[in-house]
Amino acid sequence: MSFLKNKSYKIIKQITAYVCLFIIAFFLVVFSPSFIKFFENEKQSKLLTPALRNDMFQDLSYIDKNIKVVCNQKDNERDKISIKSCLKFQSEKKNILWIGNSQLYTINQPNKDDRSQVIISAKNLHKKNINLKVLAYPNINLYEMNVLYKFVNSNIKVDTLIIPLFFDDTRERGVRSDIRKLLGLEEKKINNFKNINNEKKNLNNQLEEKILNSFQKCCNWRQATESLKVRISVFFYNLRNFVFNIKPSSVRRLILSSYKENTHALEKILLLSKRNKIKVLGYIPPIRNDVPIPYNSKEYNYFKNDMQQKFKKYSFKLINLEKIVPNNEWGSKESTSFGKKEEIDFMHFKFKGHQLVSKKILEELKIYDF
Amino acid sequence: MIFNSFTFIIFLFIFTIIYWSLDNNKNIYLIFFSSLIFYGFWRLDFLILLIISLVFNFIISFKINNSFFKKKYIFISVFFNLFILFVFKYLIFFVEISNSILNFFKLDVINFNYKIILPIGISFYTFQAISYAIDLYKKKIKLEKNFFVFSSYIIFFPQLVAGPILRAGDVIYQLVSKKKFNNNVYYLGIQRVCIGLFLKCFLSNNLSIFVDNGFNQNPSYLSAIDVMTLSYLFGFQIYFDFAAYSHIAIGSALMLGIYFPENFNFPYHSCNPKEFWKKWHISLSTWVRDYIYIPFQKKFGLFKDNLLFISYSSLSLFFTWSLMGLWHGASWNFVLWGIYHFFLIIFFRKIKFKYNFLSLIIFIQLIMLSWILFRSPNISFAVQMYENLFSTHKWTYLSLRENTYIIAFITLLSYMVMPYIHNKIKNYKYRKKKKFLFLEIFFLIFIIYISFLYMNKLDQFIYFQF
Repeated sequence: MSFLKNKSYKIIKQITAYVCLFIIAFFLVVFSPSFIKFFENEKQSKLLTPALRNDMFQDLSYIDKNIKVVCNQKDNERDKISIKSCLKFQSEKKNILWIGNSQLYTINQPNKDDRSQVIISAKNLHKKNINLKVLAYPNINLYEMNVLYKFVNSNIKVDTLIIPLFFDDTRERGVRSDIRKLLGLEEKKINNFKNINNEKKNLNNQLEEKILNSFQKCCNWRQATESLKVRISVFFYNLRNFVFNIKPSSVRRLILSSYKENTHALEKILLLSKRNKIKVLGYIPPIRNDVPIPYNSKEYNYFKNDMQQKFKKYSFKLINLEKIVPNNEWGSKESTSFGKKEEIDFMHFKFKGHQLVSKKILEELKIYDF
Repeated sequence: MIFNSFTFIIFLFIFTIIYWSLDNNKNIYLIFFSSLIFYGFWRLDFLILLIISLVFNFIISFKINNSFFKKKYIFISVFFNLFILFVFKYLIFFVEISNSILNFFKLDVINFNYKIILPIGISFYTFQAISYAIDLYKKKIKLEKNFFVFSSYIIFFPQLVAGPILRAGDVIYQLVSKKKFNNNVYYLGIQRVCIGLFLKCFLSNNLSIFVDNGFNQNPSYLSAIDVMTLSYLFGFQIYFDFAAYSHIAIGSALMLGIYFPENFNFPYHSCNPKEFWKKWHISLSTWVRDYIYIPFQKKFGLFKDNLLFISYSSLSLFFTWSLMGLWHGASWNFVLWGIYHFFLIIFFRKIKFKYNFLSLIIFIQLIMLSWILFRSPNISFAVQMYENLFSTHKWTYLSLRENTYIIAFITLLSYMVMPYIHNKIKNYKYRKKKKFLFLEIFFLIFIIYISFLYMNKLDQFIYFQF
C-alpha cells in the first residue's frame, strides 16, 4: 500500500498509459496486413479470377535450362532477384536483349498453357542458338531503360536490342527505388537538402538501424510498412480516379519535361548501341482500336514521328505494331476506381496477341540480318 | 538525434519517466546531460565545440554583469558567437565571394580546399547565447550563476537544433522552478508531439516527393502554372516541416512541464508581411526585430536626412532582411530571398488593399513565389523559374503530372479551412468532454500509426541545415 502511495509510481503509471498508445499503434502496423489479407481472402472467392497472369516465373522450370530468360519482375519479389546473377555470359551464343514493360510478359485472361511473347520468342531463338535476355518492369520509362541498358552492356555482350516505345512511359520520369536497389545504386534522398543526418558517425542512424532490424526480426516490420504504404497509395489512386472520373480511356497528355528527359535517354541508348555496334529494333507497341485511344491524336502522331526521326538518325529500324493485335484479342482488367469491378485494358492482350507480336519480332530479326 | 525516429520516441519517454521520478533540484543535471547525449547522437566531435561555446559564454556573462567595462565584454561575447557561426557556416561562402572579386581583378585566388561540416543547431544556439548576453547587458534579466542552469537554457534538447529561439527571461525560471506533474499538460504535450510527427512523416515528406520531382527538372521546360504549383507545394512542405519540428519541441517541453512560446500560427492566413511574420517562425522574427532591426532603427533614426533618396528606415529594413536571408543559408539565393521580403514589406506599406480577401489572395501568391528562391539550387535556376511567369507562351501548357496539381490544390484548400475546423473541434471538445476523449484517443492512435508507417531514417528536417 505504501508503494502505491508513492508519487513517482503513480506518475510512471500515467506515463506508461501514454506509452501504450504508441505500442498499440505499433502492433496495429504489424498486424494490419494480416487483417486486410484475411478480409480480402474472404471477399476474393466471390470475385472473378484475376484477368492477368505474370508469366515469367512460372515458366522458368518449363523452359529448357539453356535458355536464360532473366530478370523479369514479379510484383512481390523485386528484391530477391539480382540482375547480375541472372546475366551469364555465354560467349559462343549471340545475345538479344529485350527491355520493356509489363506488356512483354502479362497475358490477359490466360489459359493453362498460354505463354507470353518473350517466352515464345526465347524458345524459337534458342533453336537457332541465340540467347534472349529480357528485362521487363511495369511502367518502365526510357530513362530507366537507359540505366538498365548501360548496366547490362557492362556485364554481357549484347548483339541486338529490342525496345518497345510506349507513349505512356514518356510521361514517367526518374529511376524508381526498386530499380536502384536491383542495380545497387544509391538510394535517392527524399529531399534534395543537404542531409546532415547522413553522416557516417551518426549514432542516431546506427541506433535507429538496430531498432528497425529488431522490429524486422520480431515482426517483419519492413514488409508490413511497405505493403500498407502500397495499399494506401492504391486507395488514393483509386479515389482520385473515382473523383475525377479518370478511366483507361481518359486522354493522357504529353508532359513536356518528362518527354524531353525520356527522349534524351532514348538518344543515349541509340548512341551507345551505335558505338558498340549493337543493332536496335524498336517498335511502336500494339494498341487496341475498338475504342478511341487514350492519347491526344496530335501528340501521339508527334511522338511516333519523333521516334521515327530518332531511329532514322542512327540508321536503326523502327516498326509499327499498333494494329497487329485484333480487337477481340484484348481484354479487361481489375478496375482502378471505386464502384466497378473491371475496366478495359489498353496495355495487355490475350495469348494470340503474344503469338502475333512474337512472330512479327522474329520476322523482323531475320530481315534485320541478324 | 532527429525527432522523427524511434530512437527519439524511446529517448523521450525514458527521459520523462526519469525526470518526473527525480527530485526537482536534480532535474537540471538530467536536462543538461541528456541534452548533451541528444546532441552527441548526431556528432560526438562537435560536442566539444558546443561545450567550449557554453563555457565561454558562461564565463563572459559574469564579466558583462559585474565588470566596469561591460561594453567591451558584450562586444567580445557577440563577436565570439558570430565568429564561430561565421567559420562553420559562412567561411566557404566568403572565400567564394572573395575569389570572384579577385578573379574579376585578375588576381590570385585563395586556395581553400577544406571541407567544413556545419554543426547542427549552430545558428540557433549562438543566437540564443547572444540574446542572453544582450539581455543581461541591458539588465532585462539577472545573471545566472549556475553553469548547469545556464547551459540547460542554451542546449535544452527540444529546441537545441532548430528552435524556437528562446529568451532567457521566458525559460530559465521554468527550468529551476518546482514543478508538479500535471496529467492534462503531459497529455497535451504528447498530442503536440504526435501532431508534429504526422506533419513531418506523412505530410511534409510526401509533399517533398512532388517538390523534388518538379525542381529536378530543367526549369526551361516548366510552364508558368508549374512554377506557381511548385511554389505552393514547397511553401506547404517547408511549413509542415518546420511547424512539425516546433510542435514536437513544444510538446516535448510540455511533457516536462515547461511552456515554450508558439512558433507558428497559421501563417498563410495573412494579408500582409507584417501579419505573416507575426505568425511564421515567430521566435526568429522577434529576435531579429529586437536585436537587429530596432537597434539599427534607433541608431539611424538620429539621421533625419535620406541617404541617396533612400530613407534610413528603409536602409535598416533592407539590411535586416538581407541578414535574415543570409542566416538561413550561406548562399546568394537566401540573401535574395531576404531582399524579396524587404520589397514585399515596402510594397504592402505603400499599397493598402480595400478588401482583406483581396489582400490575402495577392499576398499568399507573392509569399509562395518567394519560396522559389529558397528551394532553387542556384540563382540561375530561380531566375529561369521566374522568367517562365512572364512569358505568354508558358501559360498555355502544363508540364507536371496531373497528381501534382491535384495535391497542391487539395493541400491549399485543406489548409485554408483548417483554422475553422480547429475552432469547431475546440468548441466541441469544450462542450462534450467525455465523448470527445474517446474520439481524441482514437485519432491519436491513428496519427501515430500513420507516422510509424512513413517514418524514414534518412529524413531530416529542412531547418537542420540552417
